[in-house]
Amino acid sequence: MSNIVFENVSYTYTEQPNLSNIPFAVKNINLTIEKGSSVVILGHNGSGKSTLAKLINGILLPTSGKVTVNGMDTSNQENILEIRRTVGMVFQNPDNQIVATVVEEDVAFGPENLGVPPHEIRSRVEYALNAVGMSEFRLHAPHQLSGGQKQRIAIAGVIAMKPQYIILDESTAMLDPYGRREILDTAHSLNKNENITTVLITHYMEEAVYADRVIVMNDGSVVMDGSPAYVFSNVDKLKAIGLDVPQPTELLYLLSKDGHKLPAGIMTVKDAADALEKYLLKGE
Amino acid sequence: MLKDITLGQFFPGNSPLHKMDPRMKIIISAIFIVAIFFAKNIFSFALLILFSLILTTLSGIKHSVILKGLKPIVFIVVFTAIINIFWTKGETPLINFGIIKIYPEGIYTAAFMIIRVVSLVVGTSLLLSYTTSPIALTDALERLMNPLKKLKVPVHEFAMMMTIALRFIPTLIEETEKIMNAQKARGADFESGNLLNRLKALVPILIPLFISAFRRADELAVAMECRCYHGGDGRTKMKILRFSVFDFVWLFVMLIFSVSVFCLNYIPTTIKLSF
Ligand SMILES: Nc1ncnc2c1ncn2[C@@H]1O[C@H](COP(=O)(O)OP(=O)(O)O)[C@@H](O)[C@H]1O
Ligand SMILES: [Mg+2]
Repeated sequence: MSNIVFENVSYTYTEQPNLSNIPFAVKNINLTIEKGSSVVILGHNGSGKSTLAKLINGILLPTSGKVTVNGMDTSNQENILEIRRTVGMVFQNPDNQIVATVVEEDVAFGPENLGVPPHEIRSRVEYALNAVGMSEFRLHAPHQLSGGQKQRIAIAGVIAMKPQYIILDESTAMLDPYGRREILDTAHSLNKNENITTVLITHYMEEAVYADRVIVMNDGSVVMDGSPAYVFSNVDKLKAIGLDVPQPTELLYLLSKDGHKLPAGIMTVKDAADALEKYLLKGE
Repeated sequence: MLKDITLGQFFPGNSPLHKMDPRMKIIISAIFIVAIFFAKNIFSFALLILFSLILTTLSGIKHSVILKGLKPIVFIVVFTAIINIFWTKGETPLINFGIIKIYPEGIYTAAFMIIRVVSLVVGTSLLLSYTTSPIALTDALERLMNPLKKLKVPVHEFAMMMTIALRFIPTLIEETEKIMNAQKARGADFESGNLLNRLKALVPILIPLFISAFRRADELAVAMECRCYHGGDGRTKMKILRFSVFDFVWLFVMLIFSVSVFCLNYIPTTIKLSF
Protein backbone atom coordinates (compact mmCIF):
# COMPACT_ATOMS: atom_id res chain seq x y z
CA MET A 1 0.00 0.00 0.00
CA SER A 2 1.83 3.09 -1.16
CA ASN A 3 -0.52 5.95 -0.71
CA ILE A 4 -1.95 8.46 1.73
CA VAL A 5 -5.57 7.82 2.61
CA PHE A 6 -8.04 10.05 4.45
CA GLU A 7 -11.14 8.19 5.59
CA ASN A 8 -13.91 10.53 6.62
CA VAL A 9 -11.52 12.78 8.53
CA SER A 10 -12.63 15.78 10.56
CA TYR A 11 -10.51 17.95 12.80
CA THR A 12 -11.29 20.75 15.22
CA TYR A 13 -8.89 22.90 17.21
CA THR A 14 -11.50 23.47 19.94
CA GLU A 15 -11.00 21.49 23.07
CA GLN A 16 -14.65 21.11 24.07
CA PRO A 17 -15.99 18.59 21.60
CA ASN A 18 -19.37 18.54 23.33
CA LEU A 19 -20.21 22.04 22.13
CA SER A 20 -23.18 22.05 19.79
CA ASN A 21 -21.67 23.88 16.85
CA ILE A 22 -17.99 23.09 16.67
CA PRO A 23 -15.87 24.99 14.16
CA PHE A 24 -14.22 22.20 12.17
CA ALA A 25 -10.95 23.20 10.50
CA VAL A 26 -11.45 20.29 8.10
CA LYS A 27 -14.54 18.14 7.86
CA ASN A 28 -15.46 14.81 6.30
CA ILE A 29 -12.41 14.53 4.11
CA ASN A 30 -12.13 11.45 1.93
CA LEU A 31 -9.01 11.52 -0.15
CA THR A 32 -6.38 9.23 -1.59
CA ILE A 33 -3.01 10.55 -2.73
CA GLU A 34 -1.22 8.04 -4.94
CA LYS A 35 2.49 7.56 -4.73
CA GLY A 36 4.48 9.19 -7.52
CA SER A 37 1.93 11.85 -8.41
CA SER A 38 2.30 15.59 -8.10
CA VAL A 39 -0.63 17.16 -6.33
CA VAL A 40 -1.46 20.81 -5.76
CA ILE A 41 -3.85 21.89 -3.02
CA LEU A 42 -5.49 25.26 -3.56
CA GLY A 43 -7.68 27.26 -1.23
CA HIS A 44 -7.84 30.69 0.33
CA ASN A 45 -6.58 31.52 3.82
CA GLY A 46 -8.23 29.49 6.54
CA SER A 47 -9.68 26.90 4.19
CA GLY A 48 -7.94 24.11 6.10
CA LYS A 49 -4.92 23.36 3.90
CA SER A 50 -2.31 23.45 6.67
CA THR A 51 -4.55 21.44 8.96
CA LEU A 52 -4.87 18.81 6.23
CA ALA A 53 -1.08 18.74 5.82
CA LYS A 54 -0.44 18.36 9.55
CA LEU A 55 -2.94 15.52 9.71
CA ILE A 56 -0.89 13.59 7.16
CA ASN A 57 2.26 13.29 9.27
CA GLY A 58 0.62 13.04 12.65
CA ILE A 59 1.42 16.51 13.96
CA LEU A 60 -2.36 16.68 14.38
CA LEU A 61 -4.49 13.60 14.97
CA PRO A 62 -7.99 13.41 13.51
CA THR A 63 -10.87 14.31 15.83
CA SER A 64 -12.80 11.67 13.92
CA GLY A 65 -11.92 9.42 11.01
CA LYS A 66 -8.60 7.88 10.09
CA VAL A 67 -5.47 8.90 8.21
CA THR A 68 -3.06 6.25 6.93
CA VAL A 69 0.31 6.62 5.23
CA ASN A 70 1.36 3.50 3.32
CA GLY A 71 -1.10 1.65 5.48
CA MET A 72 0.27 3.02 8.78
CA ASP A 73 -2.33 4.70 10.98
CA THR A 74 -1.14 8.13 12.16
CA SER A 75 -2.92 7.76 15.49
CA ASN A 76 -0.72 4.81 16.41
CA GLN A 77 2.20 6.37 18.28
CA GLU A 78 4.51 3.52 17.24
CA ASN A 79 4.20 4.50 13.59
CA ILE A 80 4.89 8.16 14.08
CA LEU A 81 8.65 8.28 13.38
CA GLU A 82 8.31 6.07 10.32
CA ILE A 83 5.43 8.22 9.05
CA ARG A 84 7.38 11.44 9.54
CA ARG A 85 10.36 9.90 7.79
CA THR A 86 8.16 8.86 4.89
CA VAL A 87 6.32 12.18 4.64
CA GLY A 88 8.64 15.17 4.68
CA MET A 89 7.22 18.61 5.34
CA VAL A 90 8.50 22.05 4.39
CA PHE A 91 6.83 25.14 5.82
CA GLN A 92 6.32 28.74 4.88
CA ASN A 93 8.94 30.62 6.87
CA PRO A 94 12.41 29.35 5.97
CA ASP A 95 13.93 30.91 9.08
CA ASN A 96 11.74 28.97 11.46
CA GLN A 97 12.65 25.50 10.26
CA ILE A 98 16.42 25.62 10.11
CA VAL A 99 17.90 24.29 13.34
CA ALA A 100 21.67 24.34 12.97
CA THR A 101 24.18 27.12 12.42
CA VAL A 102 25.85 25.42 9.47
CA VAL A 103 24.02 24.29 6.31
CA GLU A 104 25.34 20.72 6.24
CA GLU A 105 24.63 20.24 9.93
CA ASP A 106 21.07 21.30 9.38
CA VAL A 107 20.59 18.86 6.52
CA ALA A 108 22.00 16.15 8.80
CA PHE A 109 19.46 16.91 11.54
CA GLY A 110 16.74 14.52 10.29
CA PRO A 111 18.98 11.49 9.69
CA GLU A 112 20.69 12.16 13.06
CA ASN A 113 17.30 11.97 14.77
CA LEU A 114 16.66 8.67 13.00
CA GLY A 115 19.92 7.22 14.31
CA VAL A 116 21.48 6.72 10.88
CA PRO A 117 25.19 5.78 11.15
CA PRO A 118 27.56 8.78 10.72
CA HIS A 119 29.16 7.79 7.41
CA GLU A 120 25.75 7.22 5.86
CA ILE A 121 24.51 10.59 7.12
CA ARG A 122 27.50 12.17 5.40
CA SER A 123 26.63 10.58 2.06
CA ARG A 124 22.93 11.38 2.42
CA VAL A 125 23.75 15.03 3.14
CA GLU A 126 25.90 15.22 0.04
CA TYR A 127 23.22 13.57 -2.02
CA ALA A 128 20.47 15.85 -0.67
CA LEU A 129 22.44 19.06 -1.14
CA ASN A 130 23.21 17.95 -4.65
CA ALA A 131 19.56 17.23 -5.38
CA VAL A 132 18.62 20.82 -4.52
CA GLY A 133 21.73 22.31 -6.13
CA MET A 134 23.19 23.71 -2.91
CA SER A 135 26.40 21.66 -2.55
CA GLU A 136 28.67 24.67 -2.73
CA PHE A 137 26.91 26.28 0.26
CA ARG A 138 27.63 23.29 2.49
CA LEU A 139 29.59 25.27 5.06
CA HIS A 140 27.64 28.53 4.98
CA ALA A 141 25.64 29.90 7.89
CA PRO A 142 21.89 29.96 7.20
CA HIS A 143 21.62 33.72 7.70
CA GLN A 144 24.02 34.26 4.82
CA LEU A 145 21.56 32.69 2.35
CA SER A 146 18.64 34.14 0.38
CA GLY A 147 15.07 33.07 1.13
CA GLY A 148 14.94 30.70 -1.84
CA GLN A 149 18.27 29.15 -0.85
CA LYS A 150 17.10 28.67 2.73
CA GLN A 151 13.97 26.91 1.48
CA ARG A 152 16.10 24.64 -0.69
CA ILE A 153 18.14 23.77 2.41
CA ALA A 154 14.91 22.96 4.21
CA ILE A 155 13.96 20.68 1.30
CA ALA A 156 17.41 19.06 1.41
CA GLY A 157 16.88 18.42 5.13
CA VAL A 158 13.75 16.51 4.20
CA ILE A 159 15.34 14.63 1.29
CA ALA A 160 18.13 13.41 3.58
CA MET A 161 15.49 11.38 5.41
CA LYS A 162 14.72 9.55 2.12
CA PRO A 163 11.01 10.35 2.10
CA GLN A 164 8.44 9.05 -0.37
CA TYR A 165 6.26 12.14 -0.06
CA ILE A 166 7.14 15.80 0.36
CA ILE A 167 4.55 18.35 1.41
CA LEU A 168 5.38 21.99 0.75
CA ASP A 169 2.97 24.10 2.79
CA GLU A 170 3.03 27.52 1.14
CA SER A 171 6.78 27.22 0.94
CA THR A 172 6.91 29.81 -1.83
CA ALA A 173 4.69 32.38 -0.12
CA MET A 174 7.50 34.43 1.43
CA LEU A 175 9.79 34.31 -1.60
CA ASP A 176 10.35 36.67 -4.50
CA PRO A 177 9.48 35.43 -8.02
CA TYR A 178 13.01 34.14 -8.52
CA GLY A 179 12.97 32.22 -5.22
CA ARG A 180 9.56 30.78 -6.10
CA ARG A 181 10.91 29.54 -9.40
CA GLU A 182 13.84 27.87 -7.56
CA ILE A 183 11.50 25.97 -5.26
CA LEU A 184 9.01 24.98 -7.96
CA ASP A 185 11.79 23.68 -10.20
CA THR A 186 13.27 21.75 -7.29
CA ALA A 187 9.90 20.20 -6.43
CA HIS A 188 9.30 19.36 -10.08
CA SER A 189 12.65 17.64 -10.46
CA LEU A 190 12.16 15.68 -7.23
CA ASN A 191 8.87 14.38 -8.56
CA LYS A 192 10.17 13.52 -12.02
CA ASN A 193 13.72 12.35 -11.23
CA GLU A 194 13.50 10.92 -7.72
CA ASN A 195 9.92 9.68 -8.01
CA ILE A 196 8.94 11.51 -4.82
CA THR A 197 5.26 12.35 -4.47
CA THR A 198 4.96 16.11 -4.09
CA VAL A 199 2.03 17.85 -2.45
CA LEU A 200 2.25 21.55 -3.12
CA ILE A 201 0.01 23.76 -1.01
CA THR A 202 -0.32 27.23 -2.44
CA HIS A 203 -2.57 30.07 -3.37
CA TYR A 204 -0.63 30.97 -6.49
CA MET A 205 -2.75 29.53 -9.32
CA GLU A 206 0.17 29.41 -11.74
CA GLU A 207 1.83 26.79 -9.55
CA ALA A 208 -1.09 24.44 -10.14
CA VAL A 209 -0.77 24.40 -13.91
CA TYR A 210 1.84 21.65 -14.18
CA ALA A 211 0.48 19.35 -11.49
CA ASP A 212 -1.05 15.93 -12.20
CA ARG A 213 -3.93 16.75 -9.94
CA VAL A 214 -5.44 19.82 -8.30
CA ILE A 215 -7.47 19.67 -5.10
CA VAL A 216 -9.45 22.77 -4.19
CA MET A 217 -10.44 23.33 -0.58
CA ASN A 218 -13.00 25.69 0.82
CA ASP A 219 -14.19 25.99 4.39
CA GLY A 220 -12.58 22.71 5.46
CA SER A 221 -13.95 20.60 2.61
CA VAL A 222 -12.69 19.44 -0.75
CA VAL A 223 -14.82 21.23 -3.32
CA MET A 224 -13.01 20.27 -6.53
CA ASP A 225 -10.61 17.52 -7.37
CA GLY A 226 -9.22 16.70 -10.80
CA SER A 227 -6.74 17.58 -13.51
CA PRO A 228 -5.65 21.23 -13.74
CA ALA A 229 -7.54 21.54 -17.03
CA TYR A 230 -10.73 20.30 -15.37
CA VAL A 231 -10.40 22.54 -12.33
CA PHE A 232 -9.57 25.66 -14.29
CA SER A 233 -12.41 25.16 -16.71
CA ASN A 234 -14.75 25.89 -13.80
CA VAL A 235 -13.84 29.56 -13.54
CA ASP A 236 -17.20 30.56 -12.07
CA LYS A 237 -16.96 28.05 -9.29
CA LEU A 238 -13.39 29.09 -8.41
CA LYS A 239 -14.36 32.75 -8.36
CA ALA A 240 -17.32 31.99 -6.14
CA ILE A 241 -15.00 30.71 -3.43
CA GLY A 242 -12.64 33.64 -3.79
CA LEU A 243 -9.90 32.09 -5.88
CA ASP A 244 -8.28 33.52 -8.98
CA VAL A 245 -7.39 31.64 -12.12
CA PRO A 246 -4.18 31.92 -14.18
CA GLN A 247 -4.17 35.01 -16.39
CA PRO A 248 -4.49 33.16 -19.77
CA THR A 249 -7.47 31.22 -18.37
CA GLU A 250 -9.01 34.46 -17.18
CA LEU A 251 -8.57 36.09 -20.60
CA LEU A 252 -10.23 33.25 -22.51
CA TYR A 253 -12.96 33.04 -19.88
CA LEU A 254 -13.82 36.72 -20.27
CA LEU A 255 -13.79 36.44 -24.07
CA SER A 256 -16.09 33.43 -24.07
CA LYS A 257 -18.44 35.23 -21.72
CA ASP A 258 -18.67 37.90 -24.43
CA GLY A 259 -19.87 35.27 -26.86
CA HIS A 260 -16.62 34.21 -28.50
CA LYS A 261 -16.38 30.46 -28.90
CA LEU A 262 -13.13 29.64 -27.14
CA PRO A 263 -12.17 26.45 -25.28
CA ALA A 264 -12.19 26.42 -21.46
CA GLY A 265 -9.44 25.05 -19.22
CA ILE A 266 -6.50 26.62 -21.03
CA MET A 267 -3.77 27.60 -18.60
CA THR A 268 -0.56 28.65 -20.34
CA VAL A 269 0.20 31.72 -22.42
CA LYS A 270 1.25 29.54 -25.35
CA ASP A 271 -1.95 27.49 -25.41
CA ALA A 272 -4.01 30.64 -25.08
CA ALA A 273 -2.16 32.25 -27.98
CA ASP A 274 -2.65 29.14 -30.12
CA ALA A 275 -6.36 29.00 -29.31
CA LEU A 276 -6.80 32.68 -30.15
CA GLU A 277 -4.86 32.32 -33.39
CA LYS A 278 -7.01 29.41 -34.47
CA TYR A 279 -10.15 31.29 -33.55
CA LEU A 280 -9.12 34.45 -35.40
CA LEU A 281 -8.00 32.57 -38.53
CA LYS A 282 -11.39 30.87 -38.72
CA GLY A 283 -12.69 34.42 -38.90
CA GLU A 284 -15.90 33.85 -37.06
CA MET B 1 28.21 43.75 11.87
CA LEU B 2 26.16 42.75 14.88
CA LYS B 3 24.97 39.67 13.01
CA ASP B 4 28.39 38.10 13.21
CA ILE B 5 27.97 37.88 16.94
CA THR B 6 27.38 34.11 16.66
CA LEU B 7 30.92 33.64 15.57
CA GLY B 8 31.84 35.17 18.91
CA GLN B 9 35.51 35.91 18.70
CA PHE B 10 36.22 33.04 16.35
CA PHE B 11 38.86 33.61 13.66
CA PRO B 12 38.82 30.70 11.20
CA GLY B 13 42.28 29.41 10.40
CA ASN B 14 44.54 26.45 9.99
CA SER B 15 46.96 26.72 12.88
CA PRO B 16 47.89 23.84 15.20
CA LEU B 17 45.50 25.37 17.71
CA HIS B 18 42.66 25.42 15.21
CA LYS B 19 43.28 21.79 14.40
CA MET B 20 43.16 20.60 17.96
CA ASP B 21 40.08 18.59 18.92
CA PRO B 22 37.72 20.97 20.76
CA ARG B 23 37.35 18.44 23.59
CA MET B 24 41.12 18.48 24.06
CA LYS B 25 41.04 22.27 24.08
CA ILE B 26 38.60 22.22 26.97
CA ILE B 27 40.72 19.68 28.88
CA ILE B 28 43.92 21.61 28.22
CA SER B 29 42.34 24.90 29.26
CA ALA B 30 41.25 23.33 32.53
CA ILE B 31 44.81 22.08 33.20
CA PHE B 32 46.20 25.50 32.26
CA ILE B 33 43.90 27.26 34.72
CA VAL B 34 44.94 24.94 37.52
CA ALA B 35 48.64 25.45 36.66
CA ILE B 36 48.16 29.23 36.79
CA PHE B 37 46.89 29.01 40.32
CA PHE B 38 49.78 26.81 41.38
CA ALA B 39 52.41 29.28 40.14
CA LYS B 40 54.04 30.89 43.15
CA ASN B 41 57.46 32.25 42.34
CA ILE B 42 59.31 34.21 39.69
CA PHE B 43 60.43 31.09 37.78
CA SER B 44 57.02 29.56 37.49
CA PHE B 45 55.60 32.91 36.45
CA ALA B 46 58.29 33.22 33.80
CA LEU B 47 57.20 29.84 32.47
CA LEU B 48 53.57 31.03 32.39
CA ILE B 49 54.58 34.01 30.27
CA LEU B 50 56.65 31.83 27.99
CA PHE B 51 53.81 29.38 27.51
CA SER B 52 51.29 32.14 26.75
CA LEU B 53 53.68 33.60 24.20
CA ILE B 54 54.13 30.21 22.54
CA LEU B 55 50.37 29.71 22.35
CA THR B 56 49.96 33.18 20.83
CA THR B 57 52.59 32.53 18.20
CA LEU B 58 51.21 29.11 17.30
CA SER B 59 47.65 30.38 16.96
CA GLY B 60 48.55 32.91 14.26
CA ILE B 61 46.09 35.34 15.84
CA LYS B 62 47.15 38.97 15.47
CA HIS B 63 48.61 40.58 18.59
CA SER B 64 46.33 43.57 18.16
CA VAL B 65 43.35 41.22 18.46
CA ILE B 66 44.68 39.72 21.65
CA LEU B 67 45.39 43.13 23.15
CA LYS B 68 41.86 44.24 22.27
CA GLY B 69 40.57 41.17 24.06
CA LEU B 70 42.33 42.34 27.21
CA LYS B 71 40.57 45.69 27.19
CA PRO B 72 37.58 44.69 29.31
CA ILE B 73 39.84 43.54 32.16
CA VAL B 74 42.18 46.56 32.16
CA PHE B 75 40.23 48.41 34.82
CA ILE B 76 39.95 45.53 37.26
CA VAL B 77 43.61 44.59 36.77
CA VAL B 78 44.87 48.13 37.35
CA PHE B 79 42.58 48.57 40.32
CA THR B 80 43.72 45.39 42.09
CA ALA B 81 47.34 46.14 41.22
CA ILE B 82 47.12 49.53 42.92
CA ILE B 83 45.47 48.04 45.98
CA ASN B 84 48.20 45.42 46.16
CA ILE B 85 50.97 47.99 45.82
CA PHE B 86 49.67 50.22 48.61
CA TRP B 87 48.30 47.68 50.99
CA THR B 88 50.91 44.94 50.98
CA LYS B 89 53.19 45.23 53.99
CA GLY B 90 56.83 44.12 53.86
CA GLU B 91 60.01 44.62 55.83
CA THR B 92 61.86 47.58 54.35
CA PRO B 93 59.81 50.16 52.45
CA LEU B 94 61.05 51.15 48.99
CA ILE B 95 59.39 54.53 49.14
CA ASN B 96 58.35 56.16 52.37
CA PHE B 97 56.01 59.16 52.46
CA GLY B 98 55.02 58.85 56.06
CA ILE B 99 51.57 57.30 55.84
CA ILE B 100 52.09 55.90 52.36
CA LYS B 101 54.71 53.20 52.32
CA ILE B 102 55.44 51.13 49.23
CA TYR B 103 57.25 47.88 49.81
CA PRO B 104 58.97 45.80 47.10
CA GLU B 105 56.75 42.90 48.13
CA GLY B 106 53.72 44.95 47.09
CA ILE B 107 55.16 45.56 43.67
CA TYR B 108 55.98 41.89 43.17
CA THR B 109 52.54 40.81 44.30
CA ALA B 110 50.92 43.28 41.90
CA ALA B 111 53.14 42.17 39.02
CA PHE B 112 52.43 38.49 39.62
CA MET B 113 48.73 39.15 39.92
CA ILE B 114 48.78 40.93 36.55
CA ILE B 115 50.67 38.05 34.94
CA ARG B 116 48.20 35.58 36.37
CA VAL B 117 45.08 37.32 35.13
CA VAL B 118 46.53 38.22 31.74
CA SER B 119 47.83 34.73 31.02
CA LEU B 120 44.52 33.27 32.20
CA VAL B 121 42.54 35.45 29.79
CA VAL B 122 44.98 35.11 26.90
CA GLY B 123 45.36 31.35 27.26
CA THR B 124 41.68 30.49 27.57
CA SER B 125 40.51 32.89 24.90
CA LEU B 126 43.15 31.60 22.49
CA LEU B 127 42.11 28.03 23.10
CA LEU B 128 38.35 28.33 23.52
CA SER B 129 37.30 31.43 21.69
CA TYR B 130 39.70 32.74 19.03
CA THR B 131 40.44 29.33 17.50
CA THR B 132 37.18 27.45 18.25
CA SER B 133 33.74 28.19 16.83
CA PRO B 134 30.96 28.34 19.44
CA ILE B 135 29.25 25.44 17.73
CA ALA B 136 32.34 23.23 17.97
CA LEU B 137 32.60 24.20 21.61
CA THR B 138 28.96 23.31 22.30
CA ASP B 139 29.44 20.00 20.55
CA ALA B 140 32.61 19.25 22.52
CA LEU B 141 30.94 20.15 25.81
CA GLU B 142 28.03 17.84 25.03
CA ARG B 143 30.39 14.95 24.36
CA LEU B 144 32.58 15.61 27.40
CA MET B 145 29.52 15.81 29.64
CA ASN B 146 28.00 12.66 28.15
CA PRO B 147 28.74 10.51 31.22
CA LEU B 148 26.58 12.90 33.28
CA LYS B 149 23.54 11.65 31.37
CA LYS B 150 23.63 8.64 33.66
CA LEU B 151 23.02 11.05 36.55
CA LYS B 152 19.95 12.36 34.66
CA VAL B 153 21.65 15.63 33.76
CA PRO B 154 19.89 16.84 30.57
CA VAL B 155 23.15 17.24 28.64
CA HIS B 156 21.66 16.80 25.18
CA GLU B 157 18.86 19.26 25.89
CA PHE B 158 21.29 21.94 27.07
CA ALA B 159 23.44 21.47 23.98
CA MET B 160 20.35 21.68 21.76
CA MET B 161 19.29 24.89 23.48
CA MET B 162 22.74 26.37 22.96
CA THR B 163 22.72 25.43 19.28
CA ILE B 164 19.27 26.91 18.72
CA ALA B 165 20.21 30.06 20.59
CA LEU B 166 23.31 30.47 18.44
CA ARG B 167 21.24 29.79 15.33
CA PHE B 168 18.60 32.41 16.18
CA ILE B 169 20.73 35.26 17.52
CA PRO B 170 21.42 36.68 14.03
CA THR B 171 17.77 36.22 13.03
CA LEU B 172 16.49 38.04 16.10
CA ILE B 173 19.04 40.83 15.77
CA GLU B 174 17.95 41.35 12.19
CA GLU B 175 14.37 41.41 13.36
CA THR B 176 15.11 43.94 16.11
CA GLU B 177 16.68 46.23 13.54
CA LYS B 178 13.61 45.89 11.31
CA ILE B 179 11.23 46.69 14.15
CA MET B 180 13.36 49.66 15.26
CA ASN B 181 13.37 51.04 11.75
CA ALA B 182 9.63 50.51 11.44
CA GLN B 183 9.06 52.37 14.71
CA LYS B 184 11.47 55.13 13.73
CA ALA B 185 9.55 55.55 10.48
CA ARG B 186 6.49 56.14 12.64
CA GLY B 187 8.34 58.84 14.53
CA ALA B 188 9.63 56.88 17.52
CA ASP B 189 12.65 58.42 19.20
CA PHE B 190 15.13 56.11 20.90
CA GLU B 191 18.03 58.49 21.33
CA SER B 192 16.84 61.42 23.38
CA GLY B 193 15.13 62.01 26.70
CA ASN B 194 16.03 60.80 30.15
CA LEU B 195 16.61 57.19 31.09
CA LEU B 196 12.95 56.54 31.93
CA ASN B 197 11.81 57.87 28.56
CA ARG B 198 14.35 55.80 26.74
CA LEU B 199 13.30 52.67 28.57
CA LYS B 200 9.70 53.45 27.71
CA ALA B 201 10.69 53.79 24.07
CA LEU B 202 11.97 50.21 24.18
CA VAL B 203 8.55 48.78 24.98
CA PRO B 204 7.22 49.04 21.40
CA ILE B 205 10.33 47.16 20.26
CA LEU B 206 10.33 44.44 22.86
CA ILE B 207 6.66 43.51 22.60
CA PRO B 208 6.66 42.73 18.85
CA LEU B 209 10.04 41.05 19.26
CA PHE B 210 8.75 38.76 22.00
CA ILE B 211 5.56 37.92 20.15
CA SER B 212 7.54 37.02 17.08
CA ALA B 213 10.07 35.01 19.08
CA PHE B 214 7.28 32.93 20.59
CA ARG B 215 5.74 32.35 17.17
CA ARG B 216 9.13 31.29 15.85
CA ALA B 217 9.64 28.93 18.76
CA ASP B 218 6.26 27.37 18.08
CA GLU B 219 6.92 26.88 14.37
CA LEU B 220 10.43 25.61 15.00
CA ALA B 221 9.14 23.02 17.45
CA VAL B 222 6.68 21.70 14.86
CA ALA B 223 9.36 21.73 12.15
CA MET B 224 11.71 19.78 14.43
CA GLU B 225 9.02 17.22 15.19
CA CYS B 226 8.35 16.84 11.47
CA ARG B 227 12.03 15.99 11.09
CA CYS B 228 11.65 13.16 13.59
CA TYR B 229 13.21 14.96 16.54
CA HIS B 230 12.36 13.09 19.72
CA GLY B 231 15.07 14.09 22.15
CA GLY B 232 18.56 12.69 22.49
CA ASP B 233 17.63 8.99 22.67
CA GLY B 234 18.89 6.94 19.76
CA ARG B 235 20.31 10.01 18.11
CA THR B 236 23.52 9.77 16.10
CA LYS B 237 25.82 12.52 14.88
CA MET B 238 27.17 13.13 11.42
CA LYS B 239 30.43 14.55 12.69
CA ILE B 240 32.65 12.08 14.46
CA LEU B 241 35.20 13.68 16.77
CA ARG B 242 38.40 11.67 16.92
CA PHE B 243 41.45 12.52 18.97
CA SER B 244 44.52 12.59 16.77
CA VAL B 245 48.12 11.91 17.77
CA PHE B 246 48.66 15.67 17.94
CA ASP B 247 45.91 16.04 20.53
CA PHE B 248 47.81 13.66 22.78
CA VAL B 249 51.06 15.50 22.08
CA TRP B 250 49.29 18.64 23.27
CA LEU B 251 48.07 16.89 26.36
CA PHE B 252 51.56 15.61 27.06
CA VAL B 253 53.10 19.08 26.62
CA MET B 254 50.46 20.54 28.87
CA LEU B 255 51.13 17.99 31.61
CA ILE B 256 54.86 18.62 31.42
CA PHE B 257 54.15 22.32 31.61
CA SER B 258 52.04 22.00 34.74
CA VAL B 259 54.49 19.69 36.44
CA SER B 260 57.27 22.19 35.63
CA VAL B 261 55.27 25.04 37.09
CA PHE B 262 54.78 22.99 40.19
CA CYS B 263 58.47 22.08 40.51
CA LEU B 264 59.78 25.55 39.73
CA ASN B 265 57.90 26.75 42.79
CA TYR B 266 60.47 24.94 44.90
CA ILE B 267 63.45 26.87 43.58
CA PRO B 268 64.31 29.21 46.45
CA THR B 269 64.12 32.92 45.66
CA THR B 270 64.71 36.02 47.74
CA ILE B 271 61.40 37.54 46.68
CA LYS B 272 58.74 37.07 49.29
CA LEU B 273 55.13 37.12 48.28
CA SER B 274 52.14 37.82 50.39
CA PHE B 275 50.26 34.79 49.07
N1 LIG C 1 -3.59 26.55 16.12
C1 LIG C 1 -4.87 26.84 15.82
N2 LIG C 1 -5.75 27.03 16.82
C2 LIG C 1 -7.06 27.31 16.55
N3 LIG C 1 -7.56 27.42 15.31
C3 LIG C 1 -6.74 27.24 14.27
C4 LIG C 1 -5.34 26.95 14.47
N4 LIG C 1 -4.75 26.82 13.27
C5 LIG C 1 -5.72 27.03 12.35
N5 LIG C 1 -6.91 27.29 12.94
C6 LIG C 1 -8.19 27.53 12.26
O1 LIG C 1 -8.46 26.42 11.43
C7 LIG C 1 -8.93 26.83 10.18
C8 LIG C 1 -8.07 26.27 9.07
O2 LIG C 1 -6.78 26.82 9.17
P1 LIG C 1 -5.55 26.37 8.30
O3 LIG C 1 -5.55 24.90 8.19
O4 LIG C 1 -4.35 27.02 8.85
O5 LIG C 1 -5.91 27.00 6.87
P2 LIG C 1 -4.96 27.39 5.66
O6 LIG C 1 -3.66 26.71 5.83
O7 LIG C 1 -5.73 26.94 4.46
O8 LIG C 1 -4.82 28.87 5.68
C9 LIG C 1 -8.98 28.34 10.21
O9 LIG C 1 -10.30 28.73 10.49
C10 LIG C 1 -8.07 28.71 11.33
O10 LIG C 1 -8.50 29.88 11.95
MG1 LIG D 1 -1.70 27.51 5.94
